[in-house]
Amino acid sequence: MNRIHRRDFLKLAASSAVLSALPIHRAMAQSSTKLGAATPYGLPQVILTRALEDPAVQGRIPERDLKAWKDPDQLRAWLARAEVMLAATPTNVAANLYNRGVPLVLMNVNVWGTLGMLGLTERGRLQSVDDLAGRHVGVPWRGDMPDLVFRYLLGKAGLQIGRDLKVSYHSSPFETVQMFVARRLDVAVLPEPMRTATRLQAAQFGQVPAELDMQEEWARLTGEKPGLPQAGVVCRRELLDRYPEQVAVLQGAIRRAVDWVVAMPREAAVTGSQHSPLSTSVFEGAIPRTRIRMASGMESRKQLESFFTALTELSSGFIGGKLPDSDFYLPDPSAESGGQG
Amino acid sequence: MKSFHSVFQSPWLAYGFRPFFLLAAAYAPIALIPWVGSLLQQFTLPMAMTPLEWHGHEMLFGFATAALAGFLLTSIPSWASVQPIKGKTLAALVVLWLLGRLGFWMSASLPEVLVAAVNFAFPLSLIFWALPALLSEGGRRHLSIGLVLLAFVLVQGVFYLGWLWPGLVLPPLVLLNTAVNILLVLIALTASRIVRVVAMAATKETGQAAPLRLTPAREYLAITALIAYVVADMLAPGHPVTGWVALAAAAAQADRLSEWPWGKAMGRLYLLLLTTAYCWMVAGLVLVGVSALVDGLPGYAGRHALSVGAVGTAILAVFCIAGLRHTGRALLLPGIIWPALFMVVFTALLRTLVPVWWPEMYLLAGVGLPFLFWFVGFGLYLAGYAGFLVNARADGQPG
Repeated sequence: MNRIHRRDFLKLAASSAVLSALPIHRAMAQSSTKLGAATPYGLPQVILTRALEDPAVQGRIPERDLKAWKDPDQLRAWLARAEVMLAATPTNVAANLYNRGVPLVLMNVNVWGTLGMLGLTERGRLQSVDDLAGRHVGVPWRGDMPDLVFRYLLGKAGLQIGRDLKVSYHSSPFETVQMFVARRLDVAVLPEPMRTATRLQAAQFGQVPAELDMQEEWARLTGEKPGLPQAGVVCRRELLDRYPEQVAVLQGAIRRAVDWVVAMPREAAVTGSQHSPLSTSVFEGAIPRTRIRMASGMESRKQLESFFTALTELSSGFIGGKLPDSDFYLPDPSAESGGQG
Repeated sequence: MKSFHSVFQSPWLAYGFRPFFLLAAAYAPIALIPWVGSLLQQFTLPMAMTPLEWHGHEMLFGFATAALAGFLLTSIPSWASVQPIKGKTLAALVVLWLLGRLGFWMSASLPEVLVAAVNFAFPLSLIFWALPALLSEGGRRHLSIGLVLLAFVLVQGVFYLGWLWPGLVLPPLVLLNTAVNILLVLIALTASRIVRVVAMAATKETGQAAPLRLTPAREYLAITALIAYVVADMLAPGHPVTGWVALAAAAAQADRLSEWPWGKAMGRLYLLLLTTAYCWMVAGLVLVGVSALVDGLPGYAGRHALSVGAVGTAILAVFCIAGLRHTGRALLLPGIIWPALFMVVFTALLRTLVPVWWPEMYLLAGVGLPFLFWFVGFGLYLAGYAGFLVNARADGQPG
């Protein structure tokens, strides 16, 4: 059913390209000085919330509005109407929207590793993907990034779903958590902060799950450096074209926000819990388990293309059928370069 | 002591359905709170079992068992020549059920054996009273209901064995699904008894001329197919063969439904409630079957259609119909039951469809709203029926 949903999403995204070109939307965007921004729940929300509170941003953009998006369709509609000019998003969603004609620029990638697995220790060790043979694995969101990364790793390890292991898909990571805690799964594939939420809830029932970092496994199986460009920030192209100084200020603020999250996980966790259903302790556990570092769009291009190419082997619709061209990536002025922390 | 004695003479202890329908309706939303808290990562109560198992246990062996107790304590005396349980004995049963709930809410700080024993004592008491009555000459034609009840209680007992000695028996969630499936058989058997009466009443009231004919062979086929599904789903859940058996059971139930009066008579709420429950059974079995056969649906698709949709609506139907008939009232359901039915239907719809078709809205539309609708649905029932349940019969008769 998700596939049908996705196809509808892609059709709608294509039609949004036409809508986004209509002058009425530009007129609406110009008539307001407020910067509309959107973010999904989780660490991207913490980063963008902090960035929009940055004094430099407040000085340059007095009115800002940050709202949460739950569905790529919703984000597409907001971006197409120019109701949202800036958005935190998984990189594949950004590429997909771009390829379907939504005029976007990828400003940066700041989440480089949020995926991992938890395993019941009584069902055997979990030190590598190879250990999944004979196990029952739960995965949220069929066809989405966690699933594709998981299946890519299985392929690299020579494991086949059905033949070597059983996989159950869930509609939400909240369901995966409960199935794992109830010991109905041997292993759960989960992004942070849901992985930490699972660990904490499992601990209440005497379980200490084994953990496997999927980014490390990717590096081991592909020979690449650990770190997958999973989420970043995009802006509408007209924001860059008309107000490049605003984009530069925002980019700097996001860089400082990323540094702040890494340096001050406790404070960042409080911010995260204030804006999501998850608690401070969940965010506090999740931050050190997530690879967070700032890299500009252009700087991330090589790794993004490698990542997208690998995953489009499993699902051509993952990024909308092709690699985004160079216009997708924010040009990299020297002032904003570097930051491979 | 006199006033204490008079408590046992109160109308709300005059017949089994009275306290148990009240308690079940009140407990329906309360039992969900710890589960919703855990699922949404808001809070996790100290529990001796995982939230998913706790949730399944309390909805089935807490809420549904109370409803079942109310139904059996009321219907069996009218089927067999057995005195209804009332007064002190009924109060003792109520206390036993409440102790079971207390035990489960405090399960983290009580010995597990004690919690299991107290909880199991309630259905055992029920069955020790019901089985001899159903084995008597008058009750023998309803023995099938007694056997299904026995199966339900047996599954509950096995569930406790698995809890106390993990790995000894089938996994807890398989047993919980089996318990739901056994309740479906009970609904199918009960429909044979109730639908014949209410469908005739509805067709008569609405002036439909066509004679109502419910073929016993089609009823037997539906029940046999359902029993085959219960066994298959217990032994091989998710297996393609189980999928086909579930689809066959769905077809047999749909065939049975086709004989029900589908005209103006369906506007009668008492018939619509039962029919809605049965339609949910068909939909749930189809989803369980399809999810076992194709790759695109989560394995649990259909489970809430069966539990919330079929069992939840059937319980509401029994609450409403028995709540009128046994309080000496005409079969004219209060208007407030219309929104109550919609609420339960919306609960089942959202809980079933949102995770499959709208996963992005899972937290709000898949969990939050269904909880609210379920709460309001049973709240409306209580608003409409609490007065009937706690006061003496309208016709002045005992009971």
